[in-house]
Amino acid sequence: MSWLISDAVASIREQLQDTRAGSYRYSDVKLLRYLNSAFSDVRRLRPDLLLPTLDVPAFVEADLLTPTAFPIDGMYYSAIVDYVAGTVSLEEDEFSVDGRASTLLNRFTQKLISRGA
Amino acid sequence: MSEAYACIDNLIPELAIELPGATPLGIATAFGSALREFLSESAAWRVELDAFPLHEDKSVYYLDPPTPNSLILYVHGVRYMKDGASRELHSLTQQDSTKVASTSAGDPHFFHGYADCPGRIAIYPPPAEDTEPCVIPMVSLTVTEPWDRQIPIFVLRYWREVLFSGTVGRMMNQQDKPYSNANTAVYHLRKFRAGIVRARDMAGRQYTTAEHIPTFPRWA
Repeated sequence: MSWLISDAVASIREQLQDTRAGSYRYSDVKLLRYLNSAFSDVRRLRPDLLLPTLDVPAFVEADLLTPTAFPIDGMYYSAIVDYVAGTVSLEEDEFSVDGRASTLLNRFTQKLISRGA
Repeated sequence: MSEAYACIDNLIPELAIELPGATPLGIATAFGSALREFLSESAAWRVELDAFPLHEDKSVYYLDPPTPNSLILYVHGVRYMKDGASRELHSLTQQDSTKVASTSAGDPHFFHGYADCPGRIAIYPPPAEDTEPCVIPMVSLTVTEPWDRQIPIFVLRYWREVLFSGTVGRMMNQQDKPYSNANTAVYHLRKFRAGIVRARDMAGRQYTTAEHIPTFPRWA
């Protein structure tokens, strides 16, 4: 299956229980900023996923309105979702759960560098 | 020479089974590196080029690879044909000005290559007049850079498993990847290195004989 960036944002919102359209807790801009930093970490841990150019993708709100393809292999889709959900959960607000954030970020790393989930 | 090629895309599913978590492009990149190493160290892709003529007072000639997606690696020998007979030209390992100076214009006797330009050869002495196509080089080839993802069928026919081991071994040797496996990498890389040695020997014998038996493979 070919994922889109809009699919990734939707999956992240489901992870965060933030699916009420019109009154999102986290804006698209924020989620996309964390998504872009996820791909920076992908570049650090697994540069082979960004072959042949090794360019780190950067997405903007307009990419959610068009069928923008997920830039790396679909095998690592869930890892990216975990990263963004985990990073958002690190924010200091009443909805944050530090333990959950740590679990999600560890899952991201383990999925990239080992066969762990 | 066969000009048939196979695309790496056809081989990736089989390699992907051995390398969970590897992307098709990562596998193709590793295969290209293994293929280049195999061809440069074994000189297994060996061909005779078409005969070319010599020109009056001209010593240096540039050889063209037989296909657009190949490069000349080494010149193993040069044959000179005249009056229906052929003979090998002597290879000058370094330019011997004494030998070259002592031969006057006439039938060629010596040749040497250039390390900085593998497809360039010099033939001495230069002829006194233009000739018919009479010089046949034996060269070994490699793939172009950047690689076009095409693999000569000829190489795959004999060395498919060796190249697979080279690819899988290289990738398993990487650290912090889902497919990292140092022990299995050693196994595959040993197979790869042994395959390179075998290929070098078989190519040197034109894929017809082995050192101690008259035919390849041993069970034929």
